[in-house]
Amino acid sequence: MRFLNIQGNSFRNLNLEEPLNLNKKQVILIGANGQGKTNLLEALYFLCYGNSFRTSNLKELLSYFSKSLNLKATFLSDKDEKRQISISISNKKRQIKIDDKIIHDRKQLIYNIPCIVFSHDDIAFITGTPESRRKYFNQTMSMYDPIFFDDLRYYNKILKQRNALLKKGDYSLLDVYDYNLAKYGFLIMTARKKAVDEMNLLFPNLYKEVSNIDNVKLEYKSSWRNCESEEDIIENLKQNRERDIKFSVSNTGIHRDKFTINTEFGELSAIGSTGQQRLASLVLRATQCKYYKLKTEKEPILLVDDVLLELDHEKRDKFLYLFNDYSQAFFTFLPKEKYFNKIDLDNSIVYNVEKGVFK
Amino acid sequence: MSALEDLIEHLSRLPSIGPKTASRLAYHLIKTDNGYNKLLGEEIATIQDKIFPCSICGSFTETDPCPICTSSSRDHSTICVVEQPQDVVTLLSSGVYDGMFHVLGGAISPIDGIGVDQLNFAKLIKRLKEGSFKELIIATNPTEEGDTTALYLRQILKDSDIQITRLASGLPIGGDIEYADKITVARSLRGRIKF
Ligand SMILES: [Zn+2]
Repeated sequence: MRFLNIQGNSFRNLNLEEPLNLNKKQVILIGANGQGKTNLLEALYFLCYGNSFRTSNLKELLSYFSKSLNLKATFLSDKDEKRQISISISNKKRQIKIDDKIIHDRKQLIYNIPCIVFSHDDIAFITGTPESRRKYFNQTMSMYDPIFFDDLRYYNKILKQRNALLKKGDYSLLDVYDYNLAKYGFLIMTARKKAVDEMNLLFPNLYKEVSNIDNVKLEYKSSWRNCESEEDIIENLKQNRERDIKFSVSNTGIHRDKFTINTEFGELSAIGSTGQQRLASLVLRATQCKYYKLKTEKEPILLVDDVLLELDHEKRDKFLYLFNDYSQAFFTFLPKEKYFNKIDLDNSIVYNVEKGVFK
Repeated sequence: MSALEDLIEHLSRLPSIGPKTASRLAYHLIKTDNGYNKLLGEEIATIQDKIFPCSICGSFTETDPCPICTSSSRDHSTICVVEQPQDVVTLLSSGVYDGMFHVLGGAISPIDGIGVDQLNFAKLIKRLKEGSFKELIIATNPTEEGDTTALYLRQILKDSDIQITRLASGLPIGGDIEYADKITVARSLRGRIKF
């Protein structure tokens, strides 16, 4: 699986009137800040998932004075077929096509090209709110499991409906919503437990390799503590109903689950140094790749945005060696920076990026 | 040309007609044979007088009660609950089902302001009490809203003797029935599950 080329106009500052060749395992983008390196990663991500990792406002993706944009890429599928994906925005509307067929549900898009971004914002997985960690695990699991993705979507819909009832003060339908919330919540809870157990076979070792710190583990703390079945959950919801009514919101459920990263001395978010935390966020991304491969036997595409800057060369090479589990990777670097000691140049393309132009 | 603009604006209020299609339709109507326009206008103006919801089951009909409700050859001991009048047409076209219908007029969705009182549940309960139904088939859509509606039905009929079943894999949404859909609907009716 890999991108063969990308083409388009009016995506931020990118000038891609002619198709840009991407057909190598490693694509290295070198340029000063603000020249368009990250914009290219964002464009690739946009083609994979139909949204951006930098903004939820699609308007921001348009270059100045533009009202519409077009992006098109040729990629090699996991079955080694040449396929085409294109996204355009005009009149504030997004249109996605795969091989010239219009896609209506984003779900049909997101399982074509699995890609993983490594960015500075990933530090939020360690130091951010419980929600940012839930986001990491949701993403990791949705990537390989469309059923989990569906269940999560369904759960969130029920949650919204249930909260709407609580706000309206209409409690006649609560039993019905509790039943469904418990049914889908139980599925998600069980899947999360299993995933964290399996990821604990990967994360601690990877983290030890790059940091020399042993026994750093992931932990899942379900909001529905001690619930072993749908019935337990329904009972739990009953016990909490008065509180839910009082606050007009659903106080328990998988939307309140907690994930922590624990060292032998406490949570990494509380006791780790900034360096250790940054490294851990990087290792979480690496775990995401490895876990995806373990589950699907496929290798994702990586978009590595500047994050390797923070590692010294020894760690950088070690890191690259440790997660060789990608089908294609895009790295951004600053000019005159020595990027890798060992890199297979035959399998790499290097572009210098200046004002949205790639040479 | 405000007459043209008005027509475009009114056409574009129709489902799945955007401003571009609306203007193409409007220009087409200007050029078209005058008799056709008169006929179309007349049909649109009188459709609601000629076709209306059946006072018993809620499906669209030209006579009240509808031919389904008054049919002597159909099975009056089975009732199929659907969201929309179009769903009745879909189920009829499968040719497999020969019972009664009940149209709810939508599905429960508090975020859209649709609760139990906005739908046709009261009439259904009354029908079930007064009729001699043995089986109730829930054919709501396979969506969150359709599922919730089905669960609500199950809850309120918990203590009745009527056997409740649900289509194994819902109806094609929208009511446009193509050949493939007909097979799906027939299969879905045969494979309905105890609910
Ligand atoms: Zn009728």
